[in-house]
Amino acid sequence: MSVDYAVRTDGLIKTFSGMEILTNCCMNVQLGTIYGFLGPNGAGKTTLMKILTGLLQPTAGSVEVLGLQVVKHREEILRKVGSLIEVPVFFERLSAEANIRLHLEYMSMTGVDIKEMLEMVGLTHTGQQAVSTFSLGMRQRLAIARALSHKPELLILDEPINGLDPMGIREMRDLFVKLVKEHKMTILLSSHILSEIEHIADTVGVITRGTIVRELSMCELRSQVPGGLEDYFFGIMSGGHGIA
Amino acid sequence: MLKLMRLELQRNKLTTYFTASAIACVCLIGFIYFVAYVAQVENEIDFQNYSNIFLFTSVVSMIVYAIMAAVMYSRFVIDEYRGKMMLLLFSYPISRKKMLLAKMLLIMSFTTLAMIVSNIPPLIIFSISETISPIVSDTLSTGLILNVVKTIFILGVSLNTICLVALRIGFAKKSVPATIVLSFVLCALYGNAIIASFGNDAVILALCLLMLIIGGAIVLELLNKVHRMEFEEQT
Repeated sequence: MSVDYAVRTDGLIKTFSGMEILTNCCMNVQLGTIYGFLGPNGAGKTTLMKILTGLLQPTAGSVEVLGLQVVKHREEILRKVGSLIEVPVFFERLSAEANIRLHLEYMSMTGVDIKEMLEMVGLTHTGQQAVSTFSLGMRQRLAIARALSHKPELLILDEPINGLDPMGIREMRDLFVKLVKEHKMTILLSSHILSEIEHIADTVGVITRGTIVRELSMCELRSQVPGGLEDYFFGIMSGGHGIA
Repeated sequence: MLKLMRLELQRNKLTTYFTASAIACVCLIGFIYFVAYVAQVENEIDFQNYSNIFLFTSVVSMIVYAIMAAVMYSRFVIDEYRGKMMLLLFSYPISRKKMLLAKMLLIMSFTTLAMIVSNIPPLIIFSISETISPIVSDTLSTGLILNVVKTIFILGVSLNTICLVALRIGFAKKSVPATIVLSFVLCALYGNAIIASFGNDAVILALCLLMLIIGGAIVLELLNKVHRMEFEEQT
């Protein structure tokens, strides 16, 4: 294969007590790209991300992350994946630095400059302050730093810019682009802020009612939909294929 | 495994439990004199012999440590496996079974040791003061002391099973109060069984074996349960 994929799912189905949350879901995330994952609330974005990180078990279908089957190679994959899913969870009584240090120990990773990590997300001066005193935006920043700290090959971020201030949003945007360019990372991120996805994504995938209806590269999208991502997204939501 | 235990300790400090153990030890010293003295004053025949005084003290200490272990299990296990913390713990490339086992081993070894160690000062201090100026009109023999020490060890081992039973039920109910209350009730029941079988080695050995088997079964079952948790979790 000429193009390698960081994430490939095929015919993925997930049911919760008889209800199909994901139906025949096919996602293809190319290595070294930023994949913007869009969809209304309850469409199955978080469920799919949880399956990719082994937090949930697929009911049927195949799921490959970094070329490995998630079900069989959970631990191997987790070492190479950084994730932020749902709300950021921390060891509340410890400082930001201690949280990352513990994270690195659990990831069996050494030789990481934690200070540099905190600096990267703008959390330089929190010192020994316990994470329980952090605001939502600070927690979000710390969660991103933690997800990055063990130098993963794939980042899975669920609503990473939730609760960030405008400066934070721009900093994260620059950071994500830099990570892909300089560190050859692949980023899969979901967001409700369409303009944000439009800014940074190379590919956009839209999920509704448990199925990824369409995956399209931003280049194609720009040439096919003059109104940009917003028109495209609402086009799909209203039942069409988003392309006039 | 040792590394995982060390990491647990970095997240959950044991200082509180050390302090609690020290306080419990001091209280037990007070308690043993209290029992001996009150029995004399009130003319309570049952507690005018050493074996019952020692037994009563060690069973009470087991109850104290069972509650402490239940609190620790609630903190280390139940709280972390319900709600969001699970999302974080399960996203590490570490076998879920190993992570849980590390928590359990840590709590077991701490509470067992703490209980046995904190029973020693009351036993020694009381025995010495009784040889100098006795409160109780009974004779203190080496054989008796050895039997008491044996019982303390057995209680220390059984303590784990009792708390594991409580943990298992508390885990199913995801409830901290259930765990603590259960461990108290089970301890009271088991303590009576031990008192009734004091001196009868065969019965005590059988009880001890039974407890070990039950404890082992619960550990295995719970490890598998956590391993499979992904199937059931829905948020």
